Amino acid sequence: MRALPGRSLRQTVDDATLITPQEQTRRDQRRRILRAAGELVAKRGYNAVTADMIVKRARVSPRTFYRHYRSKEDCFLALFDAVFAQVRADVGAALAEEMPWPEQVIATLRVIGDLVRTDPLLARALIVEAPTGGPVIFARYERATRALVPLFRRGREFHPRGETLPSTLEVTLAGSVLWSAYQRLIVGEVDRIEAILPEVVALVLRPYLGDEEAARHAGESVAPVRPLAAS
Amino acid sequence: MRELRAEAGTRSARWHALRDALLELGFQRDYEALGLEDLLARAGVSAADFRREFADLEDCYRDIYAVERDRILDELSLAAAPYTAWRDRVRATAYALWRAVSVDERLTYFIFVGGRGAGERVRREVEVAMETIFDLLDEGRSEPGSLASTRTTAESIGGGIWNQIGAAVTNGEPMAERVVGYMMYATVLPYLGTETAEAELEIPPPPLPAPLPR
Repeated sequence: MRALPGRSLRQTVDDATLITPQEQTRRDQRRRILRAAGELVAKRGYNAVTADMIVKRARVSPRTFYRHYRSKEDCFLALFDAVFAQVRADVGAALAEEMPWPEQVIATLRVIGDLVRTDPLLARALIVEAPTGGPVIFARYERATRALVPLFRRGREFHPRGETLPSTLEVTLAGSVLWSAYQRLIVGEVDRIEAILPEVVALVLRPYLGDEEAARHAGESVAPVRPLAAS
Repeated sequence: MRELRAEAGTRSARWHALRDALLELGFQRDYEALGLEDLLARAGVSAADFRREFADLEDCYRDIYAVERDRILDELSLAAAPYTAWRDRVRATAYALWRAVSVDERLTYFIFVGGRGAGERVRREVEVAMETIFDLLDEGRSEPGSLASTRTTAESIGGGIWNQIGAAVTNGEPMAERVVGYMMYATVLPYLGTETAEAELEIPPPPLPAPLPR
């Protein structure tokens, strides 16, 4: 394919990445709708938001909204799933091969903290408001919380009697991690999320590594605060 | 000791009818799907009588939530009152809480799940309950040799346990009494370390005062 005279090609033609203008439009619409849903839910609470409000904020027609989503709940679940998938991808990217388990835990907690710090509206929608959205959304929230359980449970390998630790320990710890973010969001202290990381790290590592090792890793988890990306 | 505030016994028969209807309907559907007309029909209360007591559905929900919350908190206070040591107070509170959430799953759902989705006024009442629990846990920071440095530990553990109770009742999974020992382990560990926390797994439930009348 030849570039126009005086212009070089800026991207390689690749059938797999080409999308039609119609598909681009659909993606933009979905992105606007999901963003609008997240912002509204964060500011007003899930139950106070209607599909009409999402439609207006997203600047789409009702027909367009219902072409993408069956209901407000369907829309919010799509938002939740999209963000959860992104967080999982970010965690995957943060975990280097052969990274020791304590550092994997710290890296994972840091990804969650980064979401809270860089997009507090979205974090509020998913961490504060999602549990209030009825049983289907609550189940999604619980599933996301419990996604931390397998990672934490690997810590039992480091405890001499790992299998005798309480069976509900990891569920409690996973809920505690999300709740530490919840509290910062509801009191408007997202700038403190980095400051509390060492205490949350110690909370998670202590049952498996013991007091001293957990404290050592917690101390090492302190990193310079990264500036927020310019919006 | 927290000042006792329970006042369900002073409420009218109409209030109790609304309360029972709200617990029943709130267990079946979200707050969003809960209509005032449905509530009144279930309770056998007229709209005029309702308006004499409450401004709207959220106001009714808030009032009933506050009364039920205070009754449970009073039970927890009475359980903890005989003890001075932090661990003993937390343990008595934990077992009293387990007893309270084991009696009526509709009430447990109402307190631990439903309230959070019922509007900003109700959510503030939920936060009163949670902050009371956090305050108790946070006293662990004053224990000699405490490992926790800020209130974050109390909020994290307390919130995690609150969520666990909510998830259990949502999934229809009664919490076994032994789980209280596990929660004590998770609670004590960040303050007093692994050895003390592991000891919690062997300590039997303390005697508790009788539950308050509903």
